[in-house]
Amino acid sequence: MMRALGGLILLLALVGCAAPVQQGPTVASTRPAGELGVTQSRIVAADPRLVQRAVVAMLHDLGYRFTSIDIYGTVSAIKANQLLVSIVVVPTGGGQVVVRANALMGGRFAPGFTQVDLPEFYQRNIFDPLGGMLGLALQPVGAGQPLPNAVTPYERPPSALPG
Amino acid sequence: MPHRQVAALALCLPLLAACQNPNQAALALGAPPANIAELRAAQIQRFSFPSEAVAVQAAAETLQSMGFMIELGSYEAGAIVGSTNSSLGPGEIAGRSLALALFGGVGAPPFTVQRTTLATVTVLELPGTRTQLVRIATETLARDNRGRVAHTGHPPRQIHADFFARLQSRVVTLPPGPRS
Repeated sequence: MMRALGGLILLLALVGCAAPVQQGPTVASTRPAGELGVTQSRIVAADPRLVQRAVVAMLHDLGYRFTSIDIYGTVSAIKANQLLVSIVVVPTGGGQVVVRANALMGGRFAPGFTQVDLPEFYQRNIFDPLGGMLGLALQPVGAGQPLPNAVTPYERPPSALPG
Repeated sequence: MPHRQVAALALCLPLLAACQNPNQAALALGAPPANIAELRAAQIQRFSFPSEAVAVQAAAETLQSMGFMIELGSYEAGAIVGSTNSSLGPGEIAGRSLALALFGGVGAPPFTVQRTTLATVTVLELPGTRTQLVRIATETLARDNRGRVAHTGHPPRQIHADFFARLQSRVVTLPPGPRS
């Protein structure tokens, strides 16, 4: 009986997580914009191009597929067709750059994507691996520090997969 | 409750928690893969192209020679994404749908009508050398007859081996000299 119950719970969990990405309006975080910006941003003393290359290497290392890379320092990527992230790298002068990440999660939570606003997600899944890739520690941004706008990542289905 | 059942239940709880809200799901899905060292070993090889740009160009051409269409490419970032797909023809889809309707009943399992394989390649030149680290990762998206898309990571490593072998054949050896 317990074995069957365990199997049922596992099955429900897997089915729930295997939901395909659906189209619909993005559900934005309800946290205050300034607070969210601090959660999503870090500052590091490094060359902007080096940081962008580290972002590319880090996302590939974590299993993301790139959906767009622009010359202004923004990289967008998707993982497992469910988790989207855009990372923008902006020089701030004095040899420092601000890195701001913005993630959206698909699945059964909403018709569209939902903005991720959990500080642990950005620290553990973005800034810690990026710091490891750079060999540098990324520092929290200070209060009142001007931050780049968050870039909203959009799923761009491969041209071979219509719809 | 026996230990094994407690352990099984404990294993299920994080999965359930991850499905309860998008933040927890993102935290679980976005974490570094548990087998990251194994993945690096399987996905990365060293090459000696004259420059990083030449390596990126060669990698793009190699993907194309394997039937991939280039979806995204950036010399600046040293990254390429390519895709290739296979799909059932309209007649085949209609035939299978009819067969399912006649013999499969309402609960018949869906069938795949289109399968897309995506390859992500990055090239990184080691500073001060003519050695490039080339990494390839592949994944598959399968769309069924009900329009749902399923994702599969880590498809057969044959694609990686084929890619690296073809890329190696494109290495052009230049005479030694100062880096341009």
